[in-house]
This record gives sequence, C-alpha cells and structure tokens, in this order.
Amino acid sequence: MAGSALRRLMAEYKQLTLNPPEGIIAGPTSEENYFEWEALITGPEGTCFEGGVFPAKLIFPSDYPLSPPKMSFTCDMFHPNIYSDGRVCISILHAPGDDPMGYESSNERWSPVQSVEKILLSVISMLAEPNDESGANVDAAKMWRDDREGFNKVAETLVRKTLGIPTSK
Amino acid sequence: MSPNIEVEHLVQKSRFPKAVYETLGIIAYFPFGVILAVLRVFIAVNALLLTVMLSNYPNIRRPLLKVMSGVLGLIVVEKENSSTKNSRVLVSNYLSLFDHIALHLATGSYTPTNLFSVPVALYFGLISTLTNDNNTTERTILKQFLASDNNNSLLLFPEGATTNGKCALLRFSNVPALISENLQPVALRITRPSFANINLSVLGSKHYTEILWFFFVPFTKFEYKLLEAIQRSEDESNETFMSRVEIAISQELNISTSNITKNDKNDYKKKYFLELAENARKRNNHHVTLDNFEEDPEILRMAAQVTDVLPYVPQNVIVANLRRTRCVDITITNILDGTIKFTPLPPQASKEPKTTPKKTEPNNFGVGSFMDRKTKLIDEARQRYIKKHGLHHLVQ
Repeated sequence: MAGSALRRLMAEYKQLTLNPPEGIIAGPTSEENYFEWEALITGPEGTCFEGGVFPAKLIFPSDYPLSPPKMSFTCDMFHPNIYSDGRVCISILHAPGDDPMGYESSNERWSPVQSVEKILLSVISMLAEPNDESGANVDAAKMWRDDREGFNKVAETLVRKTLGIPTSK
Repeated sequence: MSPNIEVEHLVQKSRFPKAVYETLGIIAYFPFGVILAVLRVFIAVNALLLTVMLSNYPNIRRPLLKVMSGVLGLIVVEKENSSTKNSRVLVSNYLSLFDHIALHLATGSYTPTNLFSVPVALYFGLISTLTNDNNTTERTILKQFLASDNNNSLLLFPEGATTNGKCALLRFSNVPALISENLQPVALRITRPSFANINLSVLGSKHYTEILWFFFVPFTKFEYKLLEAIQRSEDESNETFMSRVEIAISQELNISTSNITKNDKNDYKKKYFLELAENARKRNNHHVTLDNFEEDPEILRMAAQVTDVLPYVPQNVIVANLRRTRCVDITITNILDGTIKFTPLPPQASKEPKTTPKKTEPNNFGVGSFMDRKTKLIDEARQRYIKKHGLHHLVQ
C-alpha cells in the first residue's frame, strides 16, 4: 500500500518539479520521508494576499491517493476557510461522505484522480475568493463580510510577515 | 627434477597453436574438418554400438575397434624398441581424455573410472570403482581385479590430471605402488598433423569439446613405448618406488619431473578463470566510464533532472536508461515502476551533491534543489512586493 503511495508521490513530485505551476513550489521535506511535504504558495494577484509567499505543510496518508492529504499553513493566516491553527478547509481535501460543514458539492471532493497540484491550485483560488459560508474561522468570515478594509489590512500584514518586510507603521 | 617449472608451463590455455603457418593451416583445413567431425559423430555412434554388442567376443572386438578408431582419427603406434608387456599393471603419463582408449586398443589394459557403473565401464575398457559399499575402496577393487585370473592388465595414470607433455610430469600418486610390486612404465606421446595442430586438453575445457575437436582433426597419433617393468626392491618405500617409475617415463619422453600435483593444477585453473572473469569485468567498466565521458550534454542535462526527482538513483543507471528512452518522464516512470534494477545510493551520499555549488546552481528549467527554489521564490516575491509598493526605505 505504502509502496504505491510512495510511487504516486514520487511521480507527482516529478511533475511539480518539471512543470511547476506559476507561483507554486512543493516537495518532500526530506528525501527519507515522502509522506510529508512542504509547499510555498504565492498569493494571487489582484487579491488582498497578493505578493505573499505562504508556507504550508502537507501530510499524506499511507493509503494515498485513496485518502486525501491534510494541509495546514505553517505561517500565521487570517482567512475564513483556514482554521486558526493553520488547517485548510476546502472541499478537495475532504473525501466524499466526509463533509464536516455539510455544504460541499461532491464533484469538488477528493478522489484519486486529484493531485497535489490541483489541491494547491484550489488553495490559491480559495485565497482569492474566500467562501464566507464556511465556519473555519468565524472571525475572519465575519470581517471578510462586514469590514473588507480591515480584512485587507490584516492580510497585508500577513503578506509582509511572510516576506520579512516590516509593516509601514 | 627442475625447480623452476610452473603450472603454467604444463597446461595449454588455447585450443589453437601460436605459429602463423599453423594458424593458416587450420583456417584452410577448417571446412574439411567440420565435415569430417559431422561424419565421425555418426561413425562414433556405430562404434559405440559395436563395442557394446561385441563385448562378449574380445578377440573380434579389438581388431574391429582398432579399425573403427582409425576411421575416427585415433591412430595407435607402437614405438620401436618397445618392450613386451610383462607386468599386469601399466603406468603411463596422462595427456588427454583418449589415452586410455588408445592404450586399451593397443594393450588390452583396463583403466579405473568412477564415471560409469560396472557393466558399462567394461565395454569401454574401463573398470568401475563405483560401489555401494563404503568399505570397499578403489584400491581393494583394483586388487580384486588383479587377483582374478582373467589375466587382464590394469592401466593407471598416477598423475591424476592431464599435462601438455612438453615440459614435465606432474607428481605421481602412490596408488600404483599400493596395488602392485611390479609396474611397467609406458611413455605416451601424442601428435597431430601440423596443418591441424589443435591442442589437446585445453585448460578447463569440457569433455564434449575435446571429443568434437578430436573428430575435427584428420587424425591424432598416439605413440606409446612400453618400458622395462620395474620391480619393487626389498624395503623400498612407495615414494621411492614411484619416483623410479616417474623418472623412467620422464627420461624416455625427455622431459623433467616436478613437484606440482594435480591439486596445484586445479588451483591454477581456478585462478586463471577468476582472472579472466575479472579482466572481462574491468573491460566492461572501462567501457561504461568511457561512454559517460563522451555522453552528449542533452542526456547529461536530462540526467540532472531525473536526479533532482530521484536523488537516490545512481547516475550511471539514469544515463544508461536515458540513452535508450531519450525522455525524462519515461525514465522516471521506469525507475518508479521498478523496471530498472539498481542499488540505491545511501541517503548521505544523495544529499551531498545538493550542497555542492555545481548542483545547486539554478538553471533555466526551474529545476534546482528544492531548498534553492524555495529561497528563489521568496526572494523574487519580496523584490516584486518592495518594488510595487515602493518600500525600499523600509528594508534598507
């Protein structure tokens, strides 16, 4: 089981290395453990997260790709679909039937035909368009809905933090 | 006894002679030899059948077999001044697989063998020393054979292994002395025509190749000379008795005796073939390194890409496969699917190249080490951000 998972992960790493999607880097944290990956995701242009490079961690189960990996950001994040501990809550990371929020359409769910690349692209679009119905971070969802300006300010500080640039104030 | 004789001088390593005119002779003779060999294979089958069928009529069998053997290329000649056979145990030097056949035809003597069981062995002029009884040794069987009153004689090859007969005899074993007090030495010499002078008994050759080459050459002449029988003197030890026999044969053949035993020859054979294998391996390795050296840069670039994805795979394995596939993806798939066998590099070794400046150098394909690509992505994003928002004052 773990053998085929490892093979699949190696192949995906190959794909991501040879044809990296714009603004995304992902790969195993160490050569010895292919089941723990590190990823860098660039905040999409024209959004409040523009320019930031957000590090994240992906943990793959031994029966990957039958089960989805778990993904969490390792930097501070403030986003309606990201828990305060960094865990990412998007439909592609949930297997069909495993629907904590009860409103994800099953065609966006995890299946073995999905891939790390698709997860990371989904996360990018999630950064661009938060789903404010999800309650992963209620404060962020509320702020996103009611105080967009404030949300953008928080996002900007996060972006600068990831780049190691001090905030202007 | 000459001390500076090495095993090397006593064995033949190549089937073919070194002299140029002899080589040319073989080339010219080759087609005839092949036809002759094929024909003789069939005749040999007939001869074998005759041998078995006529085993009860030794008086008809021997002359008939002599003719048959002559057709097969086995010619036995008795040298002039040969003594008459006056011992029941003959002792001869050992040159080839066919010695005992030649001497059986000439003298009617039997040679011990452990290859065949009792009735089969007798057909071919052999005595089987195979027994089911652990207590009976070869020696007792041979003694029983001599004790029986059929008046048959025994032919022994105390050297135990063949030599090329050109330089020296191998050290004789004591077995003949243990069996009989009266041994008759036989000096054997084998010649083949100079235009087909294929060497007999090449080091490490199989019996069937010996037989095929034997059929290939037009004839092989076995010249034997029976020497005066040697009687053991009173209180003479086995060793001195045998060495007298040994010296008698070596003087007749005009070669020396030696301290080399058949075990030495065996060891030499093993060493020789080990060396051959080693040399072949070295040549192959050399071939591979040369290939790598001349590798086309495109393949090396692709190999670097594969190494980035699969750092534990040795470079030569990757290059070898890339040369066939010419495609990074197929090679990676081959390796991941396990179609290619290789020994993974230890993880330390695979990490090292990552830190060497050569490897970490980012290239145009976005393929560098993971660490480098991360740093590069962050740096670029940072520069862009600073530029876009005019934040130079904050970072300076």
